[in-house]
Amino acid sequence: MSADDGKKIHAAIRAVCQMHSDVSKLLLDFDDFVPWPCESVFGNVATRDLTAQARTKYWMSEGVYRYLHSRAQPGLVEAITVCFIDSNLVEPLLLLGRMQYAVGEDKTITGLCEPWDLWRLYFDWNKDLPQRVPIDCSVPDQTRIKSARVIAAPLYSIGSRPEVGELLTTLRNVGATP
Amino acid sequence: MLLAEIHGKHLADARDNEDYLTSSVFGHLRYIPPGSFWKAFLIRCRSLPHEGSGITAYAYLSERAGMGIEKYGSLRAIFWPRILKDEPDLMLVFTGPNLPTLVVCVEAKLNAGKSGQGEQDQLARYLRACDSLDRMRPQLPTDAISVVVYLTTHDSRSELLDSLFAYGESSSARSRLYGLEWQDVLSAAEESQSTEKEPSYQILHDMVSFLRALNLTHFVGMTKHVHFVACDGRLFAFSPILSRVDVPSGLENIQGGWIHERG
Repeated sequence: MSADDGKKIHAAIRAVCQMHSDVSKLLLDFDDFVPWPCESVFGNVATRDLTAQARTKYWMSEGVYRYLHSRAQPGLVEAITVCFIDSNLVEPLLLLGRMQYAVGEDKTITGLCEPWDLWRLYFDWNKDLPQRVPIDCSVPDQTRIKSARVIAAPLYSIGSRPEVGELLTTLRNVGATP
Repeated sequence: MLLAEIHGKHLADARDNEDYLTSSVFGHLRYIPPGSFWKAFLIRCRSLPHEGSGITAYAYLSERAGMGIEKYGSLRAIFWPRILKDEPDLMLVFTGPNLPTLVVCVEAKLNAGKSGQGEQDQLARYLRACDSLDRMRPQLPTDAISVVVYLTTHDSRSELLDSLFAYGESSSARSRLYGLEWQDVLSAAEESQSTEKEPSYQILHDMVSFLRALNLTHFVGMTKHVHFVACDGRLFAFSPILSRVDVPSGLENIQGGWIHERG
């Protein structure tokens, strides 16, 4: 162990904190990009599955999310997820998704939309998806998610707020690759 | 709280308390007389769209008053005023010689949403309360021109829509209910700071620092000041930062980078 290791770790932790700070702003500003009227599926909760236990591998969030449900088109959700920790990642990843959930006559999204859906669409239910290209994804259960389209980009390729809007426009308008 | 936060003296309980935030911010802003800051503030208060686009609280109040708010002489901030059974967070009362009184009723939120539904909708109740300002303590003129501003950390248009339905949808009501974000309060302070004289300049300077410290700014891109040696992204796979051999406690269980499987 070198004398600088502690300082390097500290610098890394500070950088992670700055990343979290930037992503927090991104999550809150996401509402401005999504067609109105919409409402947040999970309120102001942005993450889950954190542990407070002494025995653990780490005490950090693996990812954060915000899902907005369209009030004009029941079942339509546009979502953002930022992925921090996963064996498949080489750097933090931004996911933007547009999902159509199979809402019933009551048109409620509660119980249908799950916080890690966008993550699972990109990493688990579909494999080797390219980045910066909108992809119509396979879904395991069309009784819950009828269709889904995802676009991914390295988080640190996002240098400005308009770039997020451009990715969303691409997601919505460009004919997706199946 | 404001100066403590600016100087890094964080109090966790206070940081997430919307009442402390409201009192810290507006407790200082109340000393700024009507002028460029309050104009910038009210320009950022936006109504729901009606027949095309929404309007700003500044445009509405200016039209009703016959002149812009920056021409008013005095501002009085009333914190947690009582209006019958209701208690909004703040009333900003603008007055001036031979000018109609302007009342901006502010309901501030940080992490929570508005309370009540239907008849009990919080913003609908405040709109009704503003219809009866003579019942407020301290009393306000019954002919005061009033608006309600919902101050949040996020886009609140859906909540405003629910409130309008609860109050009784009309173009008049739509013109009296506005949404504003804390991030916009910061941008209003930044925009107007240079045009204000002391002590307003210092107040706005401190306000910008305070809201930045609470991360209440809009996203402008990822900050890229990373000063440590970059590896391939997997913190423990290679040794540029930390060696598994050097730190055995628990790390001997990690193989080839992150091993956690999503459950």
